[in-house]
Amino acid sequence: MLTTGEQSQRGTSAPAFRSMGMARVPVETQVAIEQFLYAEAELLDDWQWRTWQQLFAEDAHYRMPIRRNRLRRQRKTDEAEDSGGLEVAHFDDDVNSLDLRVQQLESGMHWAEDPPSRSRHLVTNVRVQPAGTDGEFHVRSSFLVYRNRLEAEVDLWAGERRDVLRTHGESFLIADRIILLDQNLVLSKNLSVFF
Amino acid sequence: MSDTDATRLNELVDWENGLIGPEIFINDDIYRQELDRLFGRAWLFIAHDSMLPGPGDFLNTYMGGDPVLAIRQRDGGVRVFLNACRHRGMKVCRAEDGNAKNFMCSYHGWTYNTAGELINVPNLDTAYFNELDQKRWGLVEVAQIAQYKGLWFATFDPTAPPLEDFLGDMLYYIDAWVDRTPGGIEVLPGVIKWTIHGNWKLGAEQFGGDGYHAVITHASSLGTFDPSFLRDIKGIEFASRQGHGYSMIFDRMTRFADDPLGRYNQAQVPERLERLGDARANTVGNFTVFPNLSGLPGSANLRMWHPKGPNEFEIWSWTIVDKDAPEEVKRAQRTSAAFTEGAAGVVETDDGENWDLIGQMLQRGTQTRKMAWNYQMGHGHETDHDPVYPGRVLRNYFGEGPQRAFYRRWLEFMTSESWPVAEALEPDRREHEASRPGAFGAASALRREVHRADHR
Ligand code: FES
Ligand SMILES: [Fe+2]
Repeated sequence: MLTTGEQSQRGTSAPAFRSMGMARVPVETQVAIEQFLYAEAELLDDWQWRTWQQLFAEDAHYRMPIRRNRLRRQRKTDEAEDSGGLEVAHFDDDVNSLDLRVQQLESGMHWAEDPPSRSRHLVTNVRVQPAGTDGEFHVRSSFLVYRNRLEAEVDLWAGERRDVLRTHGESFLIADRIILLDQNLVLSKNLSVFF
Repeated sequence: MSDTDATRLNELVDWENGLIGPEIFINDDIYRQELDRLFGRAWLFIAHDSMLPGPGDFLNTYMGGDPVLAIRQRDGGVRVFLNACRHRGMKVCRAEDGNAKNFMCSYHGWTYNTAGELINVPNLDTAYFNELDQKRWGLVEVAQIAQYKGLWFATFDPTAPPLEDFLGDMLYYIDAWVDRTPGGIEVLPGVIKWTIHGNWKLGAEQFGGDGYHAVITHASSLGTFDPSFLRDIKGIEFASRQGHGYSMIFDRMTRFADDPLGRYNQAQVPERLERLGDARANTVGNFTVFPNLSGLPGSANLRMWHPKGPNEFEIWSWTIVDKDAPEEVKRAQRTSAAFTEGAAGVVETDDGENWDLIGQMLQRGTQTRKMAWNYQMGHGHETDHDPVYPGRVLRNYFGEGPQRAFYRRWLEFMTSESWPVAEALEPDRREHEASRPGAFGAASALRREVHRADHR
């Protein structure tokens, strides 16, 4: 851990440093949340989309804002904050539209995923903070998703998730998910896998 | 590719018989010639007026293979420059949009103002002995720029005819989505950009008229979520002598019956009927403005197919809304558009699958390049004298007339030394208008003038 001296050398104030998400939840909670994210990844990579979709709370939003290449001085501090505005998003689903996406995958006619892509969701850098609401947590994590499709198609998507997880019995529900893809121009032919 | 290859191109593009050799989708020489002869001359879409609201607002886009910078001027006009420094050709602006007073090249520091003038050269005295004539080294500007109802287009060709002539009978169909309310449209902030490993013409030709693919390609979205969409489709297909195309389905205005915008659209019907007439008011369509602007008015979508090599293109996709619509309608439009179109849209993901795989096959194969593709659907069933719709019209939703017209026009651009004049087959649009006062009366012509004045 950095000493106070090093912090000030880097111009990092102590409160900002704390808010970076150093462990502030019991270690069991951290482990439980990580295990939840790994299990979720397994559902996606095993094409268990219906079960995966049931991890979302009734009032959940699942969205991927676009990223922008802007001058540093005109860069918005947080693109995710804007996603509630009129700016277009790659998707901005509630549980109903998410349900339709799963229905599409189950239709047997969704050619972009039939035969299905093989995907590998790697989830890492899991940072947990209490959300202020009882039983809810702000969870930031990084992901790397590898897709291999048909014979020779490979896509790699890296990015970040900002989740709100809600305690639900022994496990959690996803109450909110913002996905920030680290690509401005998406370098693939579609985004037909879930993140 | 030398000029004698016109013979070869004529063999590959037999639009009269509806046969196309796929070499035009993969050949590098043909692609280079396309950038020069087609994208170097045609009117190309730059931006909608609402994307550059104030002085100094800029955005980066492409005209064919070349990056261009569109900048709103202090006098309210828009100018478009090659985004390439006159010293060594570095991009002078790398942000996709924003606001600026000037643009400093990050290589050696030559600086240009928003009018494209070279206003600062580092070490002008100690390096150039004050001998550099700055006036001669401003950014290269496009030859012509013009707008139609807020849609800005530019061309590198000083001999290109006026924009409205280039758009020709397509104007009738463009009006159906830009001029359906008094306030016109606006483009929501942000653009979805993604990459297809295939040829840009595959996208352009599909949006010009290929309603045929929707039934199969979009079975899991259009067919599953709203089966009525694909049940005995009634509509028309329009092919322009200028290469444009539009196809529309009658008696609906959105792609899904339960679309959250249904109520708003329903309330708009009387206004739309009054402004547009019966023939265009209550329809869902898709179109291509030759060569690479397309859209889906029923899904609020507008897009460009930017070529990035013979076998790669980018789709840039925007969402359009009625400018005067309430905020919650715009918000609903934004969400519903994202659900259907774009890189992650339930409709669009299945198009990417097709275009990308065709690209792989052409890239790797030899025999698959030799096989002629069939563009014969509806051939011989179209008319140039439809009593209602301008252009060459097929009174059927399925057909490949727009594709035949697209490749005919493409061939003309590719094989002619000077601006390829398209001899008119169809009656002149203005005569056509005059003969149908119901659809385009004097009042609506006047309204168009007023609307245009608003945009200045
Ligand atoms: S390339 Fe722009 S200043 Fe040298
Ligand atoms: Fe399609």
